[in-house]
Amino acid sequence: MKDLLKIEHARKVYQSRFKGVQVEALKDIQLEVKEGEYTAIMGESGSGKSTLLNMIATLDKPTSGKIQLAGNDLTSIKEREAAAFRREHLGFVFQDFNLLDTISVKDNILLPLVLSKKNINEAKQKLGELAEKLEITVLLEKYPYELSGGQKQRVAVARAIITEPELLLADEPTGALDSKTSEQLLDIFEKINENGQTILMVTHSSLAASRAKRVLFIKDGIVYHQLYRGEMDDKTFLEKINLTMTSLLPR
Amino acid sequence: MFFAKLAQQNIRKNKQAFVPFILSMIFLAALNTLMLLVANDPGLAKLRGAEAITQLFGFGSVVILIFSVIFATYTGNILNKQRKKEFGLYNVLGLGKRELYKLNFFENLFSLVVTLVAGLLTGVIFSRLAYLIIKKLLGVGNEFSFSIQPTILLSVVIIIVGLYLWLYLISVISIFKSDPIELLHAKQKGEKEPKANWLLAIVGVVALVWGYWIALTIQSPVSAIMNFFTAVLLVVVGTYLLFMAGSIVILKLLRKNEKYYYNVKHFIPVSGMIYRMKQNAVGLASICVLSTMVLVTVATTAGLFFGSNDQVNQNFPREIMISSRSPLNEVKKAATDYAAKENVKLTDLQEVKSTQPLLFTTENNGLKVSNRIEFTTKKIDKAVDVTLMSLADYQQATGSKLALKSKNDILLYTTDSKYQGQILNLSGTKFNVTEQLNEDAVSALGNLSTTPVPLYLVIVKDQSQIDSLLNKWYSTKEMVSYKDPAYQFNFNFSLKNEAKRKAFIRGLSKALAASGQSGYVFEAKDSYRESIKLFDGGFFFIGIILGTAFLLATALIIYYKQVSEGMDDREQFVILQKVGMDDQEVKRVIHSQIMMVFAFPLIMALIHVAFAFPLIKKMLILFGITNWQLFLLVTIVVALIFSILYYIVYQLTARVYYRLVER
Repeated sequence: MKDLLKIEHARKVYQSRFKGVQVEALKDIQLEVKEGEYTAIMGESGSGKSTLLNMIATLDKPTSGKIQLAGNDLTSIKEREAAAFRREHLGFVFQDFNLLDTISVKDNILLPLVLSKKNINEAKQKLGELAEKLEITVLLEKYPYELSGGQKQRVAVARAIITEPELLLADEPTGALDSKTSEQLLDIFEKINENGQTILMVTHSSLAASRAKRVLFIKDGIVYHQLYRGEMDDKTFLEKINLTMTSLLPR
Repeated sequence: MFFAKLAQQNIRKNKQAFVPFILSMIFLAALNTLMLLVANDPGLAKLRGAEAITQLFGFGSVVILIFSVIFATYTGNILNKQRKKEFGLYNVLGLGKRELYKLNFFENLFSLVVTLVAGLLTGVIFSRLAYLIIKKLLGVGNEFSFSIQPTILLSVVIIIVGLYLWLYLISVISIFKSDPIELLHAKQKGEKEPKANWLLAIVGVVALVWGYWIALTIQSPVSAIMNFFTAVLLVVVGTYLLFMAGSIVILKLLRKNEKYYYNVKHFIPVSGMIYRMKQNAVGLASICVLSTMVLVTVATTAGLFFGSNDQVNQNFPREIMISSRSPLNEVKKAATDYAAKENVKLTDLQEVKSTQPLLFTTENNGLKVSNRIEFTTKKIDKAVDVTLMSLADYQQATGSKLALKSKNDILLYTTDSKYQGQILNLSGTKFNVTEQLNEDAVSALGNLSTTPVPLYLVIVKDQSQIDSLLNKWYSTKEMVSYKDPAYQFNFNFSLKNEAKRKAFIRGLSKALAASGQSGYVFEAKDSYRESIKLFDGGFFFIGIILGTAFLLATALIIYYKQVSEGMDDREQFVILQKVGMDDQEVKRVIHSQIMMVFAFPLIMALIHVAFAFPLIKKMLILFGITNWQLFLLVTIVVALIFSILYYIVYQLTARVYYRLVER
C-alpha cells in the first residue's frame, strides 16, 4: 500500500503574545498513514495533537519540515487553494459537530457538494444511498437542533464522506457523546473503514482509540510510541493502550 | 436595596447587550423630541397653509410613534433573547420568577432614567444645532424661533415611559412562560423556522395595493391631504406585513426551486434569510418605512422650495398688479405720473375687466352656481371657479381679433381636465363653445384665479348678458358682492438694481395711496417672491431637519442589524470555512447576503415613492406648484442622493460585519 499521508520532521513554533517567548508545540513529528488505514492519535491536552491535525487539515502550516498528502505538498499550498483542497481531498468530523442550524439535515449533507458545484441530481442520489447506510434517512427533513448528539454526529459523518475524500479527519468525534452513541459512531467508522475509507482520528479516549487499527502516542511534540492492533481483539488492545498511557504519565 | 444593586451590576456587566439597546432607546427619545419640537414650532403657524401643515406634522408624529413602538419591541426582543440564559442561571441559583420580575423592573427603571436624560438632551441639542446650521447654510427658516415648551418634553416623557412599560410587560410575559432549563438553553436552542403565513402575506399585499390605489386615484388636491394619512397608514402596515410574511413566502418558493437553491451563490444566503427573516423582517421594514419618509419629506419640501419661482411667475404675470372692484382710473394716472417723475418706463401694461371668480360646482349636466355660504367641504372636490368676461373687454386686453356671432356663442378657457364637449351649461343657461382657448391666448389676462380649484374663463358677446346672468344667479342681499366687477391694472417696469426696485415699489405704493382712489389691492412681484421664498424655505428647512433625523434612524437600524447579526452569523461562517469554503467565497457569500438584505428595503422605498408621487404632485398644486416636471427632477435627484448615502452607510456597516464574521 502506498503512503497517503507522509509527515517528515514537522516542527511548529508559536510566538507567544508576550514578545520573545516561544512555545514549541511540535518538535519533530515523523508519521506515515497508508491508504485504507484506520489510525488513532492519542495524547494529553497540550501534547500538540490539535496542532498536528490543523496542519494536516491545511488550516495551519509547520515552521519547518514537510507534509505530503495524496502527492501534494501541503507546506507550499496557498490559502486560496487550501479551501478547494480541503473540499476535494479531506472530510471532517468535529467534536462539536459543526452543523449549520439554519438549514435542514439534508442540506447540511449536500453542502460540500454544492460548494464544489456538483450536479444536484447526482448529489441527491448519493445522499440517498449514504443516508440509508448511516440510518439517517428519516432525519433528512429535520433541522440539526431537533437531533440528539449521536444523530448529529452521524449527519456530520455523512457530510464528511459524501465527497468521497481520500482522508477522513476526526477530531475527538466521541468527545460530546455518551458511551452508547460513541459505540454506535465507532461502529460506523469501522464499517466505512472496511469499505476502504482511510481514517485519522485524534482522541484522548482510549476506548475510542482501541477501535482503530493503529494507535500513535504523542507527547511533548514528538511521536513517542506506536501500537499496532495486529490480531488482538478490542479488549486486549484497549488494555495495551491503557498500559502505554500510564507509562507515559509524568513520574 | 438588593435588587436595585443587582440590576445596576447587570447592566454594567452586560454592556454588549445593553449598550446598543439603550442607545436605540435614547435615539427614539431624541427622534420623538425632535419631531414634536418641529411640529409644534410657533413658526409653523406663520407659514401659508399653516393648518394643513400642522395636520401633516400631526400625522408625522403619529407615524414616528408607531415606528417607535415597533422598533422598541424589536430591540427589546433581541435584548431579552440575549439575556435568557442569564435569567435561567439566576433562576437555578434560587431567584424565583417574582424576584426576576423585580430585577427586570429595576433594570428597566435604570435604563429608563438614562434614556430620558440622554434622549431629551440629545434631542434638544440636535434640534438646536440643526436649526442653527441649516439657517446659516441655506438662509432659510428664520421664522422658526426654536422654543422648548415644557408640554412637549412632558409628551416625550410619557411616550418613553409608555414604551418602557410595554417592554417590561413583554419581558415579564417571556419570563412567566419559561422554565429554568429552557431559559438556560435558550440561546443554544435553534430558533424554529418561521412558517410561511400566506394569510398575512395576502393581507399585506391588499393593504399595500389599497394604499397605492388611494394615492393614485385621489382626484382633487384638497381631498389629497385628507386621504394622505389613510394611504400612509395602509402602506406602513402593508410594508411590515409584506416584509414579515411575504418575504418568507417568497424565500420558501425560491428554496423549492432546486436549480436555483443548490447553487453556491444562493444556498447560504437564501437559507440564512429564511431562518432569520422573522426578526430581520421588522428591521428591514423599519428601514423601508424610514427611507420612504426621508424621500417623501425631502422631495416634497425641496419641490416646494425649487418650485417657488414657478409659483411666483404663475401668480404674477406682471411685476406690479393692482386690482379692485371699481375702475382704476385714478390709480392708473398716479402710477404713470410717478413713473414719469422717477424716470422709470412702464411696459407691458394690461387692463383687464371681468367678473369676480364665481364659485360653481360640477354636476352631471354642467356647472351649477353656488356660493361660499351654502358651500360645505364635502363639495370641495366638485368646486370650480367661473369668471365671465365680455368679448369687448377680452379684445381690449389681449388684442385678439376673435369674434362671436350670436349671444349663444362663447369662447372658453378652462383648466378643468374633465371638461370636454361643445356645450357649457351654466346653471341652466346653455352656451355653444365656438372655440376653446389655449394658455397663450389668456396669458395677457393677469391673475385669473388664486385658488387651486379648476378655472373656467367664459367670454360672452355682450356685457349686458353678464349683468343679467349675475342678477339671475345672485338675487339676495348677502350675495350682492358677487356681482361686483373685477378690474386689474398690471405692468412691468424697467429697473434692474435691486435697491432701486425696492425704492420704486415703495414710492409707487405711496403715490397710489395719495391718488384718492380707495379699495384697491396693490401687489408687487418682488415682495411676493421674498415672502414665498421665506415660506417655502421654511418648509425646506423642516424637510431637511426631519430628513436628517430619519436618515440617522435608518443608519442606526442598519448598524444595529449588522452588529447583532454579525455575531450570530460568525459561527456559521466558521463552519463553512471548515467545510471547505475559502475566504474569497465566504466574502462573496456574505456580500451577496448583505446586498440582498439591504437592496430590498431601498427598492421597496423607491417603489413607495413612485406611487406617492402623483399624490404629492396634487398636494403641491395647493401651494401653487404646477410644474410637475421640475418636481419629478427634484424627486429623482433626492432619491439618487439618498441611494448614495444609503450605500455609504451600508458599506461602513458592512465593514463592521466582516470584522465580526471573519476569523
